[in-house]
Amino acid sequence: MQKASLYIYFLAASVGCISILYFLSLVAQLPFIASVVMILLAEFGLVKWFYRIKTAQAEKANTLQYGILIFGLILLISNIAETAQKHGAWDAWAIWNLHAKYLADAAHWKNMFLNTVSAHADYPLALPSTLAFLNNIFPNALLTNYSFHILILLSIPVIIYLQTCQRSLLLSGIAFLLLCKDDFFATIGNYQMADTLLAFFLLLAIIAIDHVEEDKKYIILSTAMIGCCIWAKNEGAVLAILYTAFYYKELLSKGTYKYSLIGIAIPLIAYGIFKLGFAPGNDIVNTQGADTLNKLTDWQRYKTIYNYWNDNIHAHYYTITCTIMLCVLLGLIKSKIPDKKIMFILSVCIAYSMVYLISPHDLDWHLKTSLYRLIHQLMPSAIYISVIYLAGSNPINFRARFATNQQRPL
Amino acid sequence: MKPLIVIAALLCSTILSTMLYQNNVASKPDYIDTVNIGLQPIKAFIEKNNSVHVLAYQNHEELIYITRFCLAPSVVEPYNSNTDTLLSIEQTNTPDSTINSILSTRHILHSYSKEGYTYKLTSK
Repeated sequence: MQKASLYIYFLAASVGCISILYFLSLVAQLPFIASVVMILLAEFGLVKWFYRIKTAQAEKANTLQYGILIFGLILLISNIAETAQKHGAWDAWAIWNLHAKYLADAAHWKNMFLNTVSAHADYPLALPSTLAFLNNIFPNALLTNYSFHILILLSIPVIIYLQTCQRSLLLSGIAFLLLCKDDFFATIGNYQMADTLLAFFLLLAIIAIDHVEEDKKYIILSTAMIGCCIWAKNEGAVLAILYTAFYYKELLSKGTYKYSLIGIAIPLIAYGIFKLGFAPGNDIVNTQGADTLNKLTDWQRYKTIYNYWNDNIHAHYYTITCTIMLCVLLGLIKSKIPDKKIMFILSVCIAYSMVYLISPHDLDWHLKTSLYRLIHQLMPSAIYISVIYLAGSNPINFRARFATNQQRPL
Repeated sequence: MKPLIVIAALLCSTILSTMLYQNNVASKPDYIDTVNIGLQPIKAFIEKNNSVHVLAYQNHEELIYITRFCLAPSVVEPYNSNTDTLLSIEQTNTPDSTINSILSTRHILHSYSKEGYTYKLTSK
C-alpha cells in the first residue's frame, strides 16, 4: 500500500477512535476534558501503530499523475459547491446532526432515546458521536459538520486513485475523473448523512484485504473498518456478515483470526454497549412475524424492488453497473466464476433487496427514500474493484487463455 | 505519490469547499434558520430536561422535526391527546382551526409572533 493511502486510513481510524471513545466517556459520565485526554492518547498510540505498518516503496509519480489528481479534485469541488445544502438533507438534520446535538450535551444526551416518533434512536453513533466531539471543540457546528463530510467525501476518490494509478493510469484516471465529475456522488455527499461515511469504511476494508500479504496489520485495519461499518449504520451489520463469509479464509485462518478479532473487537464492543444498553429496537427487526412469509411470497414486491433498482441504475449508476457486468462476464469467460470481490458487491445488493422485501414500511416509500443511498454506499467499492480487476486482466493473457479453453477437448 | 502533496491537496480542497459553502450557502438563512430564530424566546421556558409536544399548522410534519432539531437536547414529540406541555406553531396570517380548537381548552403560558409564525406554549 502507498504511504499516502495510510494517511487516509489514519483519518478513518481516527473517526472510529473519536466516536467510540467519546461515546464510552458519555456512558462512563466522564468530564469532557477526560475524553479529550483519552482521545489524544489513543491518537498518539494510533500514530505509533501506523508508523510500524509496512508500505510499498513509492514509485516516482509523474506530473500527469499529480495533474489528474488536482484536476479531479477541482472538478469535485465545483460539483460540491453547486450541490451544497446548508443543513443537509432531511435525514441529516432530523437524524444524524440531531443525534450529534444530543450527544454533544453530556448531561442530557440520553434524552435522545426519549424521543419516540421518527427518532431513529437505534441508528449507530459513528457519525453523530464524532460530530458531537468536534462540535464541543469547534463551536460553529454548521462549518465543522460540513468540513467533516467534505473531507470524507473527497478522501473516497483520492484513495481509489492512489490505490489504482500504479496498476493502470488510464483506467484509474478515467474512474477517478468520472467519480469526481459525478453530480449525484457530490449531491449525496452534501446530504451530510452517514451513507458516505459507510461507503468510505467499506472501501477501506476492501482495499486493506488486498494488502494482507504485505503485512498482517492490514487484517486488523480491514476488520477495524468493517467494525466501523457496523458502528456507522445498521446495514453495516449486513455488510460485516457477508464480508466475513466471503473473506473467511483471509480473516479466520489459524494465523490470522487473532488479527481479525483485534481489529473488530473495539467497534463491536461499542456497538454492543449501545444496542444492548441504550438503543430502542430496530423497526424492521421488531415487526417481523407471521406477515414476513406473506411478504416473501408476494411476487409483486420482487417486481417493485427490481423496478426501483433498474430505475436507479439507469438514472444514476449506469456506467459503473455496466463496468461491473463486464467484469462478471470476463470472470465467467476466464475462470467460469466471477471475481470474489464482485460477487461480494452483488451479494450485498441481494441482501439489501431482501431487507426491502420484509420491510414493514410502505415499500414504494422505503425504496424511494433509501435505495439510491444504499447504492451510493457500494459505488466507491464497486469502482475500486472494477478498476483493479480490469487493470489486472491482461488482454493478451486473457486472449491466450480463452484460446486454450476453446481448444480443450470436451 | 508523495504523501505530503496528496494530503495537502486533500486538505486544501476541503478548506476551499468549506469557504465556498460559508460564502455561498451558510451565510444565507433557510427555513430551518427562520424556525430557529422564531423558537429563541420559547427556549427560555423549556428546560433541557423537559419534554414538549408540538402541534404544527396543517399537521406540517417537517416543521415538527425542525422544532425537535432546534430545541435539542430537550425531548420534542408530535402532539397527542395526552400531551401536557404543548407548543403550537401556526402561520400568523392564516389561523389554523384545528389548532385553535385544541388550544381552546388549554392555559396559554406564552404567546408571540415572529418571522411570520405565531408560537403558543400551553399546558393542560
